[in-house]
Amino acid sequence: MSRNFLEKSKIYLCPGKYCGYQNNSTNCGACQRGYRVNTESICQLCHETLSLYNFMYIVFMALLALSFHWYFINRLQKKKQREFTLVKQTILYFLSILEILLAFIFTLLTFPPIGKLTMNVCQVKLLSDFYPMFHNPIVNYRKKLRCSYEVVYPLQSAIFVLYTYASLIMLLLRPLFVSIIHQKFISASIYSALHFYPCLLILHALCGGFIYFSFPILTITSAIFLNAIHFTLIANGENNWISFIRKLCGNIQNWIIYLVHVILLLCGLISLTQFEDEYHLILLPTVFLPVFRDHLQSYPESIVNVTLHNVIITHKQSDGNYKELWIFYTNMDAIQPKFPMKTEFRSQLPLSPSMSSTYTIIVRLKTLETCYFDVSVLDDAIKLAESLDALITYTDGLNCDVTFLFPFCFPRDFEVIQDGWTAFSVESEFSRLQAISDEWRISDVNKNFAICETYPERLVVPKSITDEYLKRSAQFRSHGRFPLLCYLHKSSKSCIIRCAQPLIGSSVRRCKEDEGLVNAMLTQRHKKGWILDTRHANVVKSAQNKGGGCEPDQHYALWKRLHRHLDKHTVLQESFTKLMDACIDQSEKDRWLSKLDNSNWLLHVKEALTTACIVAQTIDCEETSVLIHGSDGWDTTLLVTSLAQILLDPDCRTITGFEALIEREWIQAGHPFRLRCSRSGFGRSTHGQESPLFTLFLDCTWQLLQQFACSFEFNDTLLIELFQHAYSSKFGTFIFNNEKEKLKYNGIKHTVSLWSYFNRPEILHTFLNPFYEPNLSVLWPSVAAQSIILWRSLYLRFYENQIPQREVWDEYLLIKGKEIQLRSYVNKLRQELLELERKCTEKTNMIKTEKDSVVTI
Amino acid sequence: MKFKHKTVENVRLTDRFNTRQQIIGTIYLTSTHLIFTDPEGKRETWILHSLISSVDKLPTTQQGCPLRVRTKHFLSAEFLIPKERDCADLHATLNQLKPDSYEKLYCFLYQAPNYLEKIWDPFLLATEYMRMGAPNQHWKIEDGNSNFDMCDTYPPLIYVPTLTSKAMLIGSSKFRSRGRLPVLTYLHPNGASITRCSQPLSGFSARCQEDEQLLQCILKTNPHSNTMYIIDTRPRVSIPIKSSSLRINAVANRAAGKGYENEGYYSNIQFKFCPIENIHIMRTSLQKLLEVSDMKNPTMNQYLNALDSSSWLQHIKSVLDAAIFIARVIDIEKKNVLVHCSDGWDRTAQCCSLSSLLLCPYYRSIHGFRMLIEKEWLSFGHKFSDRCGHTTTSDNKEQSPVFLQFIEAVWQLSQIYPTAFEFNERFLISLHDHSHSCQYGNFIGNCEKDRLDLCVKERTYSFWNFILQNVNDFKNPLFRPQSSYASEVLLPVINAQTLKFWLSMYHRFDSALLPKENISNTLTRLVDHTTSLSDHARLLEKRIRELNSTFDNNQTTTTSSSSTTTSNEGVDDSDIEKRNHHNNICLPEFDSGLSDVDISQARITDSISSKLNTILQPPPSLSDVESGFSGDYSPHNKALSSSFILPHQSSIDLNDIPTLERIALELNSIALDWRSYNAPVHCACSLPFDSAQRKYNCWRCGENYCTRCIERSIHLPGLYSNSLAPVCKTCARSIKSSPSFADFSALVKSKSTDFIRSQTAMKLSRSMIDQFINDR
Repeated sequence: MSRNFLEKSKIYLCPGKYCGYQNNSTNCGACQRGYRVNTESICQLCHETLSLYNFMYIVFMALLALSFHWYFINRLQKKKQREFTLVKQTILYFLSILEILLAFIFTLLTFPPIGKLTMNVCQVKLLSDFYPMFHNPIVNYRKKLRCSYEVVYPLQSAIFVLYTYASLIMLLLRPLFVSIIHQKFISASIYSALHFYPCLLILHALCGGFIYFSFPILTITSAIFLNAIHFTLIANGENNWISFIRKLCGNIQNWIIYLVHVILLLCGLISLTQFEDEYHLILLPTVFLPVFRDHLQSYPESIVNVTLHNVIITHKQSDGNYKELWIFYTNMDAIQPKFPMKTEFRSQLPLSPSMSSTYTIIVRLKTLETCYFDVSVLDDAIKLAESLDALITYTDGLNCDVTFLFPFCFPRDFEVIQDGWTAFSVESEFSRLQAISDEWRISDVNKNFAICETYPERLVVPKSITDEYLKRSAQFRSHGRFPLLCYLHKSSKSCIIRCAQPLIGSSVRRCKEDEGLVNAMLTQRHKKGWILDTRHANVVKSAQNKGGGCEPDQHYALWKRLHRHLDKHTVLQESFTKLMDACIDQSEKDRWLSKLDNSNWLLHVKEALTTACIVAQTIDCEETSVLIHGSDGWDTTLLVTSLAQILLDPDCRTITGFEALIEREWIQAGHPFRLRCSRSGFGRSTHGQESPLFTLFLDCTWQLLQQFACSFEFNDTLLIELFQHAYSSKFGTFIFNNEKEKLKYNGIKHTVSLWSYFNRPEILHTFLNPFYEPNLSVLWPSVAAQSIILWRSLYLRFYENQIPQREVWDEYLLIKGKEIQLRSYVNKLRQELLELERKCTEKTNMIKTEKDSVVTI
Repeated sequence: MKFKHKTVENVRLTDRFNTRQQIIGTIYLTSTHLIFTDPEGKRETWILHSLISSVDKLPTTQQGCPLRVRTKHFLSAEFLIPKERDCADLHATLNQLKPDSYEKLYCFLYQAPNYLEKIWDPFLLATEYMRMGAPNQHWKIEDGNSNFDMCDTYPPLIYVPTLTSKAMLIGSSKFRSRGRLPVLTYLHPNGASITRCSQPLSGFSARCQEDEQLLQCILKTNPHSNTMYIIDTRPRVSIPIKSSSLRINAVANRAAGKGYENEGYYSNIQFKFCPIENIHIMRTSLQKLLEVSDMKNPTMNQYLNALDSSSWLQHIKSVLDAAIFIARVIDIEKKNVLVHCSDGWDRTAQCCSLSSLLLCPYYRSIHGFRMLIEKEWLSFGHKFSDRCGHTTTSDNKEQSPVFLQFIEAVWQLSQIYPTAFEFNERFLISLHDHSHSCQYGNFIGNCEKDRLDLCVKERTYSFWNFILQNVNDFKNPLFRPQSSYASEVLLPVINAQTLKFWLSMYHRFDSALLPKENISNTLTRLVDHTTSLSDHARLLEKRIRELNSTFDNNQTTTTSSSSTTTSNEGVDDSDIEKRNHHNNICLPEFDSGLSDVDISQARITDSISSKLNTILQPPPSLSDVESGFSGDYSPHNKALSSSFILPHQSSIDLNDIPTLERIALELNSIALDWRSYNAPVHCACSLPFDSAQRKYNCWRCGENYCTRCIERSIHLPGLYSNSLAPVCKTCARSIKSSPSFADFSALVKSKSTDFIRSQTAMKLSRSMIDQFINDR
């Protein structure tokens, strides 16, 4: 039993699910027989003992053959009733049992460890493990890498071997039997067996995986049904109970059939108890006395509890109390076991206490923190790492049930003052719009998400356009995302419109309704607009071949086109991963700046900001409208529209305005948060949908905040909080891919909105920028390379001492508070002084008048 | 001197980052400055000749002949001159105008504004050593160098171990390069010390008994440890070098009689190499860095690549690493450290001063930082004139940004610990600029001896005087004397990720690149406003007290209404007090004061003012005193809070009864609200503001003004402390013209004794040191 955990940094992972490095070879490929690839892309010897479930699976396959045998023997009996005596029948039955049993035992003996009644197997994780030939990766779209081998070793081959043995033994025993009793017709059972064995083999080869995952239920149901059928067959024509029971009990055949059914039922029931559930993922529920540490502190003698949603780390504080730390799997990004010894030959080496130092499991969190578990027992460490790994995969974006995620179980532990789910409704946005222009209306065209799954149900559309037009336009746009207003500029009345690419295809289809809709959004004053495509012209061309494309000039005569390429998906994710790689690298040798350069992250920031500036310039200076789309209109499009709004609209720079912007432009606009944020800066992509677009948006906002420190009502704490909640949250705001999904899982009822949490005064207080002075003008940031700087307070916040920065913040508040206090104090003093002065004058006047009166008297 | 052209007209100035935007203006050439004026924008660019590092004629274009002027403070201006002859002339003249001898330096011509006088605070090395606790039983003063005969680049007085003899010192000084023998430069309270020297002339096998004895004496000064460190700040040469040419180099260095201590000869000594590259590599590195900032609109990759390949930040890191290592050895291991490089005036100065800065909180105050510069850089002979290239006679190869690196290292530290330093970024930048500009005499010459020979103190102004006169501009508003970072040893962890590119140093003239809204300026404004308000509040309190007393004299019973208002304030104030954790005045007294009418008004207001004191000034504690005397040697706010002067002494005489006009004048003279820095785009003189510019609020009207529109010579009547306040020119005129101002200013003049004292504020700082030492 050995597992080879190597440092991840040294290994370039193989493409594909089942390709791996064979011992010391540098090429990816299929593993040897008896090996299976692990998460580190290394072929590992299958070493697990035969689990009960696997055992039952082989038993089931054996029983399947046995039942076929019995069926044919039964047929035989029906055909040749006279010659076929009960004794012969029974012998034949037992003969078949003997064959199968022998074959079963031989099979177990054949497979390693040879000579023992057990097998070493590889764990079966997924259905696809049975069908690796469908998962051969294509490297660089050119070369197909063949990685088909027996992943579920030896479950697949064992059955073949079993059947071969069974048929061989049968061919040995039955002719002997036939020759003894001299009844030729019995050899028919041999022939039938020789027919059905190949059928079974083919069945197993094709449907092995399905059988593996469904046989318990199959057995139980079939056992019950067959029994029922059997009873009805017997009961047929019998009118009274006694004769029925007599008929039932009198026949040995019936007994055997019962026996078979009971065995099947038992087999199914036993297997069912072994059936997978979530809890099987936890190999080790509790680890005692490891050292848990992060970058700043270490907590020795902690207890780690692995539960379904989180890891709970309990550690003793200096004052004797216990403190708990919860880490959610949804927050875990990658598990990197770092074991000092190459454990390939661990079993052969004596484990002396001096050698068993500690085995560190590095857990990288999505919130960019790093935790370390130092476990002293290797087996515990392996099991802990494996359980965590399995649980992370389980809670992953694509194959996870949303309701399993923590926000659905999170009890509301605070009083909701202002419910975040209803805070930003379409109506409130619309009333704001109404103040600027009355050419818009709210449409219910998307009721029940009829025309677009990723838009909200109620939408703001131009008054002059009917719902029919919208439906047509939706058909013309990718994913039904038809052009939608997202911002109307107050002074110029020009607007930002976003949508998905038009499906013009290579035949350049056109849609009059779509053109009408787009043109209806143009301002009266300037009948011109820009179409900003966030893809490169070449990308657009290739998209056109796949049915997408960009608006052709001849059909959209009022619009000019502009291409600004913004990377997304894998490119962006890779960039983010490289950035974090550079940030956590503490070694002296590698050059930090060149690594930062290599990551290209700042380049993406710069590009996004530049594009947003272009949009803002068009809207504000040129007073023309802009239509923005990429391919689907829910990634880079949103990035550009939201950034442009921050530049243009002073309201978006307030806390509520910013929340509304995120709600409107990201959540309601259908940015698939759960997919995009299922991995952050460390993890390996599992479905290729991860992309830190929202992080990029926050980073760009931070750059603006950096350059216009006094124009934002919030500070970078809000941005960092948003980043954390987007990746891992106990709130429901960021866990859905779109509004439809939120409605489907009844997210509003079952989860709490992040905004409800943010808008409580004590939380809101921490987000306030003490220097905020409303700035009504449009922001024109510098997008030169020198002005774009790394967001240290996010990416390096766990790796640098943050206490001095916090002190600075306190000092800010202190200085500001002192000024305000003094101002009001001086004001008060002045008033008092004037009051006194007035009294003095009154008095002197009084004295004067008294004197005067005295004089007059 | 004769100029061929005094003015060149129709010159275009191109913006480095916005090539489309060009300003058309005129170049004026004076004997000291190159001035470019822009008649429309009213913007003027003044370039001091001594700051010009290079003047290049670029290839002629259609529009004219471009002339690029680069300065040592990182201004790069490209003038487009219509006529080629003008350009050539200008080029020749500018090159001619560079000072070719010390006598022609700007500091000997410079006429400072009135408020600066040629006062040189006598910096005494002895006081600084006294502060550190030397001489004591282990260290003594040695006057062997009083005529600079032992070492001409050392100060006259040097501090050496008590056990040493004169012969030992002379022997050691002969063994060390340029006679720079090991001398004390910093003494930590735990007894560990930093000594500095130059490389030994060990050659291949030379040894010097006296030098070895001297090191043993140094070792014995520290009772806590029986070993000491020798830190060689050069890259190690003894490690096997693959390239044969380098090996030959190292051997050649040894053959020339230079080298490092042979480990065999010195016992109980640990050797450590802290690799900092030499001045030539640093110079090229800076050149590359400046090329980075010269790039027109670089892409992100180009920029980062170029920044990386300049490896400037790596060099800064290596300097900081060495300093942190020294600080760690001193503070944690409690061992003595001897630092040297080749000559012991470049890298050694950097390391010694930085590690002292990390070790002693005093050096993080303005005053202490000045002491540090005076001691480590000026007294111990950093070759400012050669390194900064003050005159054309100095070799170009001698120029190196050693001092700049030190400044930047301090800046990097101040970025890590924003609350630990009393000075701000502007202080560091102006320190750097004036080390090059030669406007003040401090940084002239290569060593103390040079400056004595040039009679710098009699003929020039002092930079420190300039700083102290404008100390408010150079104070870090975030400085928190009571914070742990401002009062303890700093031992930061420096990664490559920690260091930032200093945008506001290298790009300070490219306002397009800088943040549009500057927090530090806003903070300074807030702090200034707080000062003015608190000063005003004090006066108001006094007036209320006076009026009340006159009121009481006439009418013995106080009206209950007025008493309640004041006691209400008392309650209000207690909130303020709670925030400041000051417990001198107990609250119940005030609560009872609510009901008790008999309590005297004067007492309440008095206690309010004393509380106000506590708001404005943190209670003086040991850490406060240690961390540098809170910078109260400024004449501007001398009386405000200094614990060395009684607070009421310098205020306006109490006896004069305020007339109504006086009160009106006083109320009028202070603005309650100040205009934010972000809103206005232009100064009243129509000079456009950009984010990097220092803006001032007029204390009277609260509006924003540029430096030129602010006057500092008015005593505002509304201020209790009677100090000079920045006021805009319009307000200054209107105040002066108001009738009651004449009485007021007469009153102020009668109190001119204070004024005189303010002029000698520098001496005050000396008395502070004495007091500090006495306290100890």
